[in-house]
Amino acid sequence: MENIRNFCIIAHIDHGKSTLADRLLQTTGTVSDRDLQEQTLDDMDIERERGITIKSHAIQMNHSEGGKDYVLNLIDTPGHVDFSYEVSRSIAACEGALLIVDATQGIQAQTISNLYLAIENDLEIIPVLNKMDLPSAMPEEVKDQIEELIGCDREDILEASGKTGYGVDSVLTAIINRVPAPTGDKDAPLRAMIFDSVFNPFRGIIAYFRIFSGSIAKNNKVKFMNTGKEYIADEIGVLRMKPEKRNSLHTGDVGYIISGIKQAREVKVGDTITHLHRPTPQAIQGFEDVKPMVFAGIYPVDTDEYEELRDSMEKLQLNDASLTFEPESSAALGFGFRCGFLGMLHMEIIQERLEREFDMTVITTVPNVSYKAYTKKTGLIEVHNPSDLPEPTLLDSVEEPYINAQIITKSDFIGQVMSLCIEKRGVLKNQVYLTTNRVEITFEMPLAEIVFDFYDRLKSVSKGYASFDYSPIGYKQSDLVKMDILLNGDQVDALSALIHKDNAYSLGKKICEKLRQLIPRQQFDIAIQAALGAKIISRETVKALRKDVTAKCYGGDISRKRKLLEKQKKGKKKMRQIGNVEVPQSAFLAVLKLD
Amino acid sequence: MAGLYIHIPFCHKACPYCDFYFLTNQKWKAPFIEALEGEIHDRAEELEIPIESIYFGGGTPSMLVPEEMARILECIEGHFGRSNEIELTIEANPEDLSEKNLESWKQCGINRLSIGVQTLNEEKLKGLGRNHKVQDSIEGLERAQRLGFGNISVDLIFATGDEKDLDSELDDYLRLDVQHISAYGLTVEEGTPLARLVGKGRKTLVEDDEYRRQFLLIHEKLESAGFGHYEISNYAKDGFESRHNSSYWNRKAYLGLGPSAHSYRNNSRRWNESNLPNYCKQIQFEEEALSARDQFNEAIMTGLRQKRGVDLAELSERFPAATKSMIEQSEGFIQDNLMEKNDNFLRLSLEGMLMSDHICSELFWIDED
Repeated sequence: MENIRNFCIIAHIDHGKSTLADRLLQTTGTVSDRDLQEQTLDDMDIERERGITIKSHAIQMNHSEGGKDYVLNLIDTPGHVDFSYEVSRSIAACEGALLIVDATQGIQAQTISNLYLAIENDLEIIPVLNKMDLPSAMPEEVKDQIEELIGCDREDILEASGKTGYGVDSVLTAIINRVPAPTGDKDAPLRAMIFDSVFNPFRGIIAYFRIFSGSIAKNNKVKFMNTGKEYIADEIGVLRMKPEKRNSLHTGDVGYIISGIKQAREVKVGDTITHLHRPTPQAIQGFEDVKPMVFAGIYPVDTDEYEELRDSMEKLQLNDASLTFEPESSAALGFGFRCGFLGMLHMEIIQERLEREFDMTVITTVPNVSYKAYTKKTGLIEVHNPSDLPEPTLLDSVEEPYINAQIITKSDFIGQVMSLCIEKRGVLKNQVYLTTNRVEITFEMPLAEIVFDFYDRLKSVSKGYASFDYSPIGYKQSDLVKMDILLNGDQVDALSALIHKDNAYSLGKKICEKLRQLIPRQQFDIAIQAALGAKIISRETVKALRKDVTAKCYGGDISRKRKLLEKQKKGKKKMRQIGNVEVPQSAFLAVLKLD
Repeated sequence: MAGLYIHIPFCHKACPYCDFYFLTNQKWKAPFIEALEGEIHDRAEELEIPIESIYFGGGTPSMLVPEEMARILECIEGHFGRSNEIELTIEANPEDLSEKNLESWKQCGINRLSIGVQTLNEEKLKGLGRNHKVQDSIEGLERAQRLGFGNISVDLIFATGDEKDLDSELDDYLRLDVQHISAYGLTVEEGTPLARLVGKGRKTLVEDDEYRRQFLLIHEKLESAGFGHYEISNYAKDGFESRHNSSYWNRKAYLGLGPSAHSYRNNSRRWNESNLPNYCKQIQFEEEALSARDQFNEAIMTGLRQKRGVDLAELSERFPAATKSMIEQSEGFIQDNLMEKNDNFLRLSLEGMLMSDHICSELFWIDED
C-alpha cells in the first residue's frame, strides 16, 4: 500500500491535460512510442475530435524512484460542468491531484470549482504550469494566481511542457514524494467505490472502482450497496493500456470488475461495493442519484424510424446511464422521446452519437429545464415539457431551478459580462479580483437562461476570455409563460418554450426572425408567429419563392449545377413537413442560437 | 456530330459580374496559342469527324488579332478538316467590331457572331461596368451586317435593377434586326466583385416579382416579333438556333480546349485547370465519369431547359424505373400548370421555366444514402 499513488488531473479544457497525460504514459513506459496517439486515454472519436474528455478513464503506470518501485494510478476525469458529479467521485478516489494550468492563460472557472472539490476531499495538490515552451507563457503572473488560490509555496509549483516533455520527470517525482500513500484497514470488510463504468458489447458493464478498505478476490460474492443488487466477481483486474486480470485486489488499489451486468443503470457512479457476507457497516459518503438537468424531445426525421430510434437510445443508455428517456408524442413531429440530459454538452453529445454511431437523423426540440407546477387541485406536478404545463387558470404558481453561476473573466470585459447576466435574470452575489486584471463574479440565475444561448453570448461578449461554471441551488418561484410558435396558423408544439414573462416580447421577436432565416422559401408565403395564449406577440413572413431559375447553363455549368440541385433535394429529405411547411432540423434549435 | 469549343482567356478588363476564367495580361498570348495548338494536336482524336460547330468563347476572343485567329483556325482545319457546313461562332465585344477584324473573320470562315451588347441603355451599360458605349454596339452591328454576316446573336442582360424602360429597350433590340437573342437575368456568381457588392449591401438585385415581370415581357415581345423561345435564356428566328449551344443541352460530344474549358463525351466530363501559366507548361485537368444517376439527372436538367423538353421515350429506354417515378412526380407540376406533357415529351410551361431549378431538383433521382 505504501508504494501506491492514486492521483487525478484537474485542468481547464485546452490547458494540455491529455498531452501531459500522454507524456506520463510514455515516460513510464506504460505505452510504447508506437502505440502512442494523441489523447491516448480518450477512446471515443468525439472526445478526440473535440479535444474533450467525456468519460472518466483510469490507467496504471509503474515508476521507480530512489531505488523503489511504485504503482501510480491516474484517474482521468471529464472537464465539463455537465459531468461534475462524475468528477467529484473521481476526485474522491484519489489522494492527490495535479493542478494543470496553461502558463499562457492562467486559471479558469472550471478549474477552480474542481480544485475546491479536491481541497474539500483533502487531496494533495501539485500545481503544474503547462505549455512552458510557448513564448507567450507568463509563469510569474500565473504563479501569483496559484499561490493566492491554494496558498502553496512558490517553489512547489512545477513547470512543464506536455509538448516537448520538459519537466515530466519532476512531475513524476512530485507525485511519488508529495502524494500520500493510501490509508485504510486492509483487514476490515471490503469497501470500494465505483467511479465510472463502461459498456463492452461482449462482457457487459465493466465498473471501475477504488478500494478504501479490505480486499476483493475473483469469484467473491459482492453487493452494490445503493442499488442493493448482488453479483459474483467473474473477473477483476487492473487497468493498464489493456485490462489485466488479477486474482485479488487490496486496499488502495484501483481496478475493474466484470460481473455479468447488462444494464448501465445498475452501476451507479459513487456506489459502494462490499462483500455479501461480512459487509461493511457504512457505505462511502457522497453518493447521489444523478438527476437530469435539461430535457428535450428527440424525434426521428423519418417517422418510420421510431422503433429504430428506440433501439439506438436503449443501446446508448447501456453505456451512458445518465441518459434518461421516455416515449412522448408531438402533434408536429409524431412519435419520439422526451430525454433527460446532464446539461447542454451532454445533449449535444447524445445527438452526435446517435447520428454517428447509430446512423440516425434526428430532430432535437427546444430544450427546457424541469419545472415545478403547483396546481390548484392536484398539487405539485413536475413539468419536463412545455406542453405539459397546466392551463394558467388551473395554476397556482410555477417554480424553476436556480443556479450559482461563477464566471472568471478579464476585468476589461466585466461590464459586458455583467449586463449579459442581468439580461439573463441574474442577480449579482459576489465579485472578487483574483489578480489585478482577472475577476471572479458570482451570479444567482435561473438555469433555464443558461440553456438559451448563454454560452455563445458569453464567449462573444468576452471575446473568448471568460470561463463559466455553475452549481444548482434549488427552486424559486417565477413568472413564467408558455410561448407558442405558429407556422401558417398551426401551432408547432415542438417549438413551444416556457419563458419569463418579461422576456416574452423580445424573445418572441428574435425567434421569429431566426426562423425566417432558417426556413427555406417555398411556393407560398409562410407566416411565422409567436403567441402567448391567443395573443400574437410577433410575426415574420417567409416570402413565397416566385423565381428559381439559372440564367446560363453551358458546358461547364452543367455538372456544377446538377450537384447543387442534387444537394438541395437531399437537404429537403432531412426536413420535416409540418402542415404544408418544410422545416429544417436546425429550426427546432433556433432559440439556442439567437444573435 | 460533335462540337469544338475554344476558350480564349483574355479580356481588356474585368466585368464585375463575370466568373469565366480570363487574364488581362496579354504577354501570355503567344505562349497560349502555342499551347493551344499542342492541345488541338493531342486531343483531336477524341472527336469524331466531321464536326458540326466551332465556338470561340472566353474571355474575349475578339481580342485575338487576325493573324492569331487565322493561325488557330488553320491548325483546327489541319486536324478536323474544313466544311462550309460548320457553324463557326466567335464571341465579340462591340468595341472590337472593326472593319479589319470583321473582314478577317469572314475570310477565316467565321459565319456566326455572338456580340456582347448586354444592353442598349447607356446608364444600365455603365452600371454593368462594360468597356463600350451603346453606339459602339449599334455601329459595329451595322458594319457586320453590311459586310454580309447574316447569323448574329446579341446578349441582353435583364434584372439588373436599372431597367427603367425595358419595353422600349426591347424595341431597340428588335430594330437591330438580328437572328438570335440571348436574354440572361443578372446572376450573382460567387467570388465576383458583384458578389462582394451584394454581400456588403451596396447593390441590391431586383425582387422575384420584378424578375418575373421582365422575363415574361421579354418572352412576349420577342415571341410576337417572330423569335422562338427555344431555351430558357435563348430566342432565335426559325432555323437560327445556336447549333453549338444546343449540343450542350442535347448531350452531344464536345471538346473544350484552352484553360478552364469543359469537354463531354462518352458519358464523361473533363475540365482543364483554370490557370493559363500552368496550361502553357503542362495541361492539368480533372475528369468525372457520369454514373447512371448523374446521366439521368443531367438529362432532366438539360432537357427541361429547352422548349422541346425531355424525350420520355428515349429516357425511359435508358432508365425505365427512374423515368417512371419521375413522371409520377411531375404530375403535381402539371396540375399546377408548371409543366406540360404531350407527344411523349415533358416540358416546362413559361411559368415553370421561372421555377426550373426547383422543379428539376424535385424530379431528380437521389439515392437513399
